[in-house]
Amino acid sequence: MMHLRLEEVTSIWNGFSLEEIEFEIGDREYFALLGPSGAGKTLLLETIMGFNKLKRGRIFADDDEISSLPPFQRGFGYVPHGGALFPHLNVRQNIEFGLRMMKIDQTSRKKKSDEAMNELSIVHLEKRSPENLSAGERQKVALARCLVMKPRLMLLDEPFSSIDAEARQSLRNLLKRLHRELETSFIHVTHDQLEAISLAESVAIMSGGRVVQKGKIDHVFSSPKSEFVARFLGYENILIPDRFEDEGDIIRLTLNGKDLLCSKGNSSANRRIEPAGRHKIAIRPDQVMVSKNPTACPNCMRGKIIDFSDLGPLVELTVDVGFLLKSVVTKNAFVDNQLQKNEGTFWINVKPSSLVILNE
Amino acid sequence: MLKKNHEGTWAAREANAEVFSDGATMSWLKIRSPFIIASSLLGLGIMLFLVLPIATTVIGASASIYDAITDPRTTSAIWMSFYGAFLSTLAVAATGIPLAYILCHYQFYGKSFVDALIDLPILIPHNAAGIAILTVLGPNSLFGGFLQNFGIVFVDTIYGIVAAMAFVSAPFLIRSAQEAFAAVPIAVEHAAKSLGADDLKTFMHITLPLASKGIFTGGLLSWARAISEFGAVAILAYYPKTAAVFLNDVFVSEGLGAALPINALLICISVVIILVFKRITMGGTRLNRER
Repeated sequence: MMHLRLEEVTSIWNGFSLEEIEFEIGDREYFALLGPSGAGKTLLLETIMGFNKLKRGRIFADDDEISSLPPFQRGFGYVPHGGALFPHLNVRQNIEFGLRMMKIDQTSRKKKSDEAMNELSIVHLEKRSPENLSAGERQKVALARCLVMKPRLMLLDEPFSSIDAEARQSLRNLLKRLHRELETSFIHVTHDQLEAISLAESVAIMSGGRVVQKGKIDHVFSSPKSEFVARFLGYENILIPDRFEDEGDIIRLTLNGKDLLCSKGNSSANRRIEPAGRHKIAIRPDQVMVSKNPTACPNCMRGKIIDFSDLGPLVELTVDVGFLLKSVVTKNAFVDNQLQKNEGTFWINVKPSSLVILNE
Repeated sequence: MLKKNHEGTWAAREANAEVFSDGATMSWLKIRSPFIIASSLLGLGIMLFLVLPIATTVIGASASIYDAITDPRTTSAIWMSFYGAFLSTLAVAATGIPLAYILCHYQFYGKSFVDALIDLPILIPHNAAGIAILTVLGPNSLFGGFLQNFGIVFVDTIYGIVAAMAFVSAPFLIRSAQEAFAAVPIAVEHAAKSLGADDLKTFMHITLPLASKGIFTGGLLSWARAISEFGAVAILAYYPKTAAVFLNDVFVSEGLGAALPINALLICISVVIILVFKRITMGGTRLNRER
């Protein structure tokens, strides 16, 4: 059980700097650090581990300051990108490495590594060299190598990268189970929003060495504060309304002469609207419905499909309702509704609760 | 053994192109390119330039090599070269490996200057190097004079041979060690530290084992370079004679005829060293490019 707190953490490595990072991770919390490549996620993870010196700021673990503690005394488990197994040691020797460093006797080492290998179902890999393991197997061995040390915090750097879809699903389930069973907090670095939402309870979104938004994952995903966060979280429709009108429980906004209603209660972002300000609005493509007939939805607009892309089980549509909107529908819905490019008029529906007003 | 290239794109580009069964190289015999033919002829020229003097020396003196082998002066000089080079490599390893590790792992003021200094012994004439060492380790120098109080004298002793050899051969080991350390992934060292290993344990259990092949290669290179050193050794410690000094001595005092068998013997030993070196360092590695 551990509580981690970062206060104004600033660190520089090779000209790239982390700027005043602040967040807290609660006991047994699964926390995702989400951001595009080059956002500073790995550098932050390494800074928490103690591999980079702090230029400013402090890091606390359970109210004890650990800012200047060397990495080997922090008691954190670290799974670097790709697993970083020791190539000159076999799987069992890799798993027992930390126990050897702690001078644990051979019998106990074997018992603990057996337990970890059983836990992760990798007993059959015991004598294999890391170079003969698949990417998924390497991740499991790296996890086992950490777990035998009973870390108070696990830090995972892009654990799903270069893993095929099937192994990814298996690893995702494994991480969920480990998090449920172990009394350990997890920090999971990823650039994949779906990976984050499927595992994490809280998230910090990073860009350019800064945390640009943080909070409970559902809240951050439903209430992006800025255009960057919205785009990164899959809000592909970013629009600039001509006018906002506050009508009590609802905001009426005008876009290219069309009125759209946006409910205030669905997210905190929408409650902080400043009528005089210029805000952008964001809509996820999966929240833009396309049908053959009009519906009772207050934001029901007549439009045309001007383009579509087949994404396998999904189809991405570009619709023109006086302004362009991206929509994603299932292949079944696409076929059932006979949605055709440039043929006929369709009805585009966006629920008022699906419109997010961006405050920054 | 040749087989047809299965890659359609390659087949389209080079109608005649075939690859060896290991997939690495196009058959030279099938190449019709003027550029490749010109490159091959130029390469042949430098190979002849390198091989012919050696071959004529060995062939010309082959009948009397046995005499050189049985001459105790020759064998003791060769032994002195091997022994001195071994000690010099140990000394360079003991100090050069830590230096390479620090240069590879840490940033500090003046690092690029220190890094440039490492190559200095390769650039300066080796007799100049010998004189330079003499100014530091000679009996009249501050440091050499101090060590003399403890019975350590560098002029005309094995210490002098080792010092001269170490000076000229150090860059080979240090550079190899730097490359070997640089090839160890930072993430692997980080993983070790996260598992409770401090800097020393990480170095001993992870970094050094992973860099050992490169360091060993550098050690062999350094040792081979030390054996062949003449200029700096002759200035600092003409006695006891190393093989290179002895050869020069015989050539100057007894003439070409007397020097040729010793020369041939030294070349034969060098060839054996190179073959062993290649075998150890490259193993079964192909010389071809990988795709």
